[in-house]
This record gives sequence, structure tokens and C-alpha cells, in this order.
Amino acid sequence: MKKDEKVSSTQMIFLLVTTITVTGFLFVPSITAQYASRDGWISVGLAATLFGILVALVYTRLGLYFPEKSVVEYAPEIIGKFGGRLIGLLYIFFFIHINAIIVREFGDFLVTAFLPETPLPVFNTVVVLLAAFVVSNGMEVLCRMNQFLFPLFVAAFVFIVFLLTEDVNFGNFLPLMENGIKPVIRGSLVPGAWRGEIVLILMFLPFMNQPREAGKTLVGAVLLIGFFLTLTTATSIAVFGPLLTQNMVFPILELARYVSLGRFLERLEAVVIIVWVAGVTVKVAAFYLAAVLGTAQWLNIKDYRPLVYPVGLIILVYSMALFENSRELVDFLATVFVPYAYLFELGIPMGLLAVALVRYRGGRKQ
Amino acid sequence: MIILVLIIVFIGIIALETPVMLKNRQWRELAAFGVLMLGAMVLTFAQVLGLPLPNPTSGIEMIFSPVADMIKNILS
Repeated sequence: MKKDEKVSSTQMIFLLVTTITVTGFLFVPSITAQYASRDGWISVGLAATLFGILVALVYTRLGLYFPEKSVVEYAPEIIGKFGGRLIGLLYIFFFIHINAIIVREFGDFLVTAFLPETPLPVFNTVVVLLAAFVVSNGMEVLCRMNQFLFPLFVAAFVFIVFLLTEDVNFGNFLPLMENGIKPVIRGSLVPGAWRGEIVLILMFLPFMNQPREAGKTLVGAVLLIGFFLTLTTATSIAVFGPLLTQNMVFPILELARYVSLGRFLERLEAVVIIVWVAGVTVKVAAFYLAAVLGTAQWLNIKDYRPLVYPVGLIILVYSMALFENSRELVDFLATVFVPYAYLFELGIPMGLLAVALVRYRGGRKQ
Repeated sequence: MIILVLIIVFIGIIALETPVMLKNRQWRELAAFGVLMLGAMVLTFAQVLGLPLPNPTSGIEMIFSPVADMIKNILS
């Protein structure tokens, strides 16, 4: 691994925001609306953001004990060789599994929404191949590519929401918290798991040129993600109402289709596709890089590049084999994914942090 | 047909990656690449031929669905 690759805090914020928002804004609104109904925006905006900030603080505290190392490298130092290496292996497995799910989401979305005649493997192969190319070029290239894409992404997003302002009906938000707080909390679990994908920082912290700014970076990223996802959820509820939102598979796509400005500016879903394809490539590349880096560090290999293609093939195969159809995928995301993701996003890091706090109470020997 | 294409792709990847490692005498890298590539090839062929793959999702569902149910019960 090239230790001299460094990225700035801004680049890291952009990377995390793109990575999480890009799949979040498609899948989160309808899953949240299923549980929280018209209060979905509270779930996404407040509850999930609070969870995200908690997670961010844990990662920062833990990461700053070892600013030069990733979780795969420092876990053995904290809790001993066997347990630490097991945790490293679990994280590698987690990154590969999540990445396979992301690739599947990508293919499923394109097949359902746009190109129903094209077989799924075509999309999956293309996106993994692109990501493999990015990964073999390293972290800096990934961040620069994203630095170019991020403003376009924000612009497209704001554009769609802005064009819909005349159709927004704030009456759809009332009554607030009709059934108490419980549905709101339940609705926040899935967006919370999404927010927790900043777990990537456990692998990427050594790349930051200012590790001391990690806390600010992470909290900033969580707040920005919160803003974008809340805007999406709130707009789809305000325009379509809670019932319609929860029955749609991809509310943001319907929102884009809904835009019609003077019978002239129409069919904006093409914009969604551009954002989605570009963003997912970044997202897949980020998780792919985390998986490959983790594997290389776990095996004590200096150069991770030989592992790019084999790991990519494994991701590709599992992206097709994990689920029979997209219904199963959404089911998994809405139920089992929550405790599974929380274990890796909060459970294990908190455990590591607890041990580290006790062990290094008097300051760590360098 | 598809198997032939896959074999060509695999040979391509191996031909692309191994010479550099051999030249630089990176034996650890080579071993890791070999093992992972072998695993990936087995998985790909199994998937293409329709053989059952070890699917981690079912295991994860088995471990975590009680927790998911518990959350559901608490919050409904």
C-alpha cells in the first residue's frame, strides 16, 4: 500500500457524502415512509442524524489512537492477535458483502426503471470493471474523480427539488407524530444504518492529511448527508403524500418524472440516471478499495493492486448470487440489514473503543 | 460458449498481473493473488453452471432475524 497517498478533509467529506447519499436518496424515502409514514422526514432528519453523529464520534476517538493505521491493522493491537485478526476478517467480509449488495442495487435499479430488456449481469460487470479501474489507480484518483462529480451531483439534485416547489403541499406533513414517537424511531433505523456507512473512515483515516480534523470532517459529512436525504424524503412526502411514497419503489425517480415546466422541461429522470450511474461508480469503488486494502493489510502485503481483479470477481459473482430478485433485496435492506449493519457500524467499534479507553488510559506508548 | 469467454478472461487477468509480481519477486503477493483468483474462478464457474454457492445472506438472516424481530416488537 502506498502510504504517501493523501487526501484533504474536504475531499473526504465529498467522498463520504457521495458514497452514502447516492444509494440513500433512491431507497431510503420509501423504506422510511413504510414505517414512519408522514413523519419520515423527522426519522431521516433528526433521529438518523443523531445516530450518525454518535457513530462519527466513536470512529474519531478510536481512529485517533492510531492515525496511521486502519482498523484491520490496529484491531490486533487493541484486543490481541486472535480476536483482532478475526475482527479484521469480519470487516473484509462486511465490505465485500455490502459492495455486492450495492452492485446489485445498481443493476436492479437500471433494469426495473430503464432498460428492462438488458440482462442484469451486463450492468454489474460494467460497474465493477469501472470501479476496478479506479481502485487500481488508488485513493487520490478516486477522491479527485469524486471532486469533479460532487458539484454536478448537488446541482442536479437541487435543480429537481427546486422545480418541484410549486407542487409541494405542506399539509401532507400534518398531523405531526400522530402515532407517537415509536414509528419515527423505527423509521429511522434504516436511514441510520445508511448513515453509518461512514464506517469506511475506519479504513480511510490513514489517507487523511489532517487526521486531527477527522472529527469535524465526519460530523460535517453526517450533517450534509442528513440534509440531502431529508430534503429527498420531505419532498417526496410533500408532493406525493405518505401513502403514495411508501408504495413507490423509487420515489425520487417519480419526482423527476413529475417535473413538467410549461410542457417544455420534462423527462428529467435522465438527470437522475446520470447522477446515479456516476455516483454509484464512486460508491462501489470506495467500498471496493476498502475491501482490497483490508485484504492486503490482513495478509501483510505491501502492494494491494494484484488483489483488485480477484476481489472484483468475487464481488461480481455475489452481486448476482445473493438475491433471487429485487423484492428480496429490499426486504433484506428493510429488516435484517439493520442489526447486521449496526453491529459493524456501532457494535464492534464501540467494543474496540471501550477496550482502548481502558488500556491506554495513561496515554499510549508510541 | 460463456465458459470459453470466461476462461479467456481469466487467462487475460492472470497474464496481466503475474509477470510484474514475478519480476519484482513478490512471492507473498503472488500467493495471495493465486489463492483469491482460484476462489474467484471456482465461484464464477459455479454461478455460471447454476451450482449452489455458499450464500452468506442466509446465514446472516439466521443470526440477525431474531434481533430484527425483537426490534420490531419493541417499536410497534
